[in-house]
Formats: sequence, C-alpha cells, structure tokens
Amino acid sequence: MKKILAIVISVVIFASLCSVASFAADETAVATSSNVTATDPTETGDAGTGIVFATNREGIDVINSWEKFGYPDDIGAAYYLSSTSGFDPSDPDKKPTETIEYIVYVVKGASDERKAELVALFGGENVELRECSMSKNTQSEYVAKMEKSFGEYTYLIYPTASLGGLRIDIYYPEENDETIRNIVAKDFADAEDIVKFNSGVNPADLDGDPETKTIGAITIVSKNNTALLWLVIVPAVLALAVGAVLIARVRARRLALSNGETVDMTRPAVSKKQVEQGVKDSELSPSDKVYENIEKEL
Amino acid sequence: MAEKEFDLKFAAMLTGDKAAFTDVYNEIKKPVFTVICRVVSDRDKAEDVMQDLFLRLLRHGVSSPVQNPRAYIFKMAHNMALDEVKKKESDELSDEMSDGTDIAEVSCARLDIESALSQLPLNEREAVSLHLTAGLKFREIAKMKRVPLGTVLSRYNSAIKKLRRML
Repeated sequence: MKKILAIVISVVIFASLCSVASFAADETAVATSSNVTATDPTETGDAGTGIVFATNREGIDVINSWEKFGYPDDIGAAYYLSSTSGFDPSDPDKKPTETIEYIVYVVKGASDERKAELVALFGGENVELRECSMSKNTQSEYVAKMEKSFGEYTYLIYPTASLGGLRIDIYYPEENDETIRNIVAKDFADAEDIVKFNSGVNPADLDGDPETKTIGAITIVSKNNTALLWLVIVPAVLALAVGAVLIARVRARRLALSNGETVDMTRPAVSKKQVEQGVKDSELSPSDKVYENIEKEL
Repeated sequence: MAEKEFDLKFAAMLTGDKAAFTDVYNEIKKPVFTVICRVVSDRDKAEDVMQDLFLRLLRHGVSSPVQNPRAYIFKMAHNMALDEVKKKESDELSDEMSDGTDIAEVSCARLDIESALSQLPLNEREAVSLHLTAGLKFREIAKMKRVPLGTVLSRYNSAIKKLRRML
C-alpha cells in the first residue's frame, strides 16, 4: 500500500511540476491525431511577429484532413510535435525558430513505395514512420461493434492510442467479469490480438473527460528559460528519487523453477509476463524408465 | 522440431516406425509429462499415464484423421490424466492433490512454481498448463473442456492473479 501511495504521489508531483514547466517554456506544443493543439500562423496572426515558421507545416493539414475525413486504411495514428526555440528578450532582432516533427504509425507490411509516399506527404523532413499492428479504422470498427454488443457496459471500452500503437482496452470491475468476458468470447473471438483486458476501472471514468484522456499529451520542454526550469526540474527529480527509494525497499524474492534453476526477484510483485514465462520454463522430465518400458512392451 | 516435421514423424510413428516414435517422444516428453503431473500430482502415476498414452497411440493409432498431432497428444494426455484422478478420487490421492505435497514440497522454504500451481483449483491449473505448457489456444481448451471461451479466459486470468500473489 505504501509503495502504491509513493508511486502515485511521485507521479502526481512530477506530472504537475512538468506541466508548470511547460508554461515556463516560451512555446511548445504536441499534437496528436485526435487532439491537434499546435498553432497555425495564419489563424493566430503570428506571421507578423517575427517567428521563423517550420517549412514542413503541410503535414499538419494532412493530419487535420485525416481527422476530418477519415484515416487511410493503412494508418494507425499520426502525431506532430511542435516547438519553438531561440527566443531572446534581450535581442529583439533574433527570431525564434519553429521546428515540427511527425510520427506516423503505418500498419505492418507497408511497401517501401508507400512509406516514401508518406514521408513526402509530410514534407519530407523530420518524419518518423513507426509500424503498428492495427489501423485506426480497424480499431474504430471493433469499437463500434463492441459498443453494440456491450449494451449497458459500453463504458468499459477504452480505445487507446499511444506512442506504442493502437489497441482496445476493456476494463472489467470484478462484478462484470463473467458478463464481459462472455460477450467478448461470443462476439469477438477473433480479436485476441487487439483487445487487452484490464482489471479495474476505466481511467476515462475517473475524471469524466474521456476525450482528453484517450490520447495523453506529451510535454516537450523548450530550451529557453532554462534557469527557471531548473527550479522546477530539481524538485521533480527529488520527488521521483523518493518514490524510487520507497519502491526499492522490497524484500528480495527467489523464484525457483522445477528444473533446479532459480531466479532472483527484486521487484515487489511478479508481473503477469514473468509468471507466464516461469510456468512455460518449468517443465518436469519423466524418468528413462518410461521410454524403456514402452520399448519393452512393443 | 518444426511443426510440419513433427506431423510427419507422428504419422510415421502410427505406422510402427520406431525411430519416428523416439523422435516424437523426445520432442514432446517434457511438456506432456508436465501437463500430466499437474493433473495427477503424483510422479509415479504420471509416468504410468505417460507410458499408457504412448502405448495406446502405438498400438491402436487414432480413430480419425488428426489435424494437429501435437495438440492431439496433449488433449489425450490430459484426458487420461483426468481419468487417473477420477479412479483415485475416493482415496488419499485427493488429499495429496489439494496440497500438492507429492509433486512439489510446499513445506520447502523456497517458492516453487510447481508448488504454487498445485495449490490452484484443478480447472485453473488446467487452463494455465494447457495454454502455457501445451501451447493450446484458449479456443482449443474451451472446445476440449466443453466450456465457453470466456470461462477458460476467466479461469486463466484468475490463476495468473493467484500465482502472482503466491510468487
């Protein structure tokens, strides 16, 4: 319990301090495929303020267009990160420069021609293509189907997009366990790779703001105002260090496999993956007598 | 051994090819024995079941074409192990099963996956063992146990949760 509390406190402090840091920076924005927040110079009138805008801004229009009219079938998600650096209040002639970077998730198996086409579509520079297993359209189709099937339990479905790709999370409080699993087993038996079951409450329900929770924004700190940022970063790092110390105060455990090997477990709890791997690796061997007896009997 | 090669060796084994039997046996003996052990919770009994399993296959073959020989062997092993448990249900074996003292010494200070597994209910142990050790898909396990897929998933997740706590 103490560990959980320590983690929560550390993360909350770190997150809040980082959000303060983002205000301290002169201009930074991260946009995701469903939460476009970057500044458009033509809309804000910044064109006359002396900022040197990035030359690859047309990619933002592409993302906006995909958001409005639908994503291509081979795209999972698209993000852009916009930052401005070089602002110096003591030198009004020095113009801040904007940089835009794109991260585009392409469904596995895309041809080199298609990848080249996408890079060109986003202006040809600062474009990173990453592979994902599912397109946004596939995710949307499954979510729509699930919403029909889930009925009163629609609120448990949580389509997720992150820098790790897309998937559909399903949160099941204990009381809904069997009901939800039965629906998925009956109607979505082919969705094993896409659906991830999570025990607990859908995080979107915690603050009643699913739209902003769906894709978390990432704060990139500008290089300007570094003196002010240190005031914020140092306590944040200290908060994390306190959390780390509390987390590390866990009794070491030993996991022994049936083949005699042992694995030292220094983490507080064995993860699901570790348990699964442990069971896989734990094999028992029959004595040679079995094989000999079979041979004799034949 | 690649799956295709295993299938060919299995087919050859059923026609009496001893070399093929040796290859199939060596390839699959550990996971099959593990699956049986986890059901019967008795090493000697598990070896008897293992022996009967291969003798039955070698003597009687299969009644209908087998699409996935590896899965077939595991299903057969599991069913024969359950039969063994049913035979002994009324005597002390059931007591042994509940605390798993024969396969893994629970009193031993070290934490052991087998002893943790032996403390799970049989249906949860089956789900974990058949999926992770035998490599069967949840759908195959559901079909084999004649229960809904959701039930198998639920048993599996419940077992993993318990194992995480125990380990």
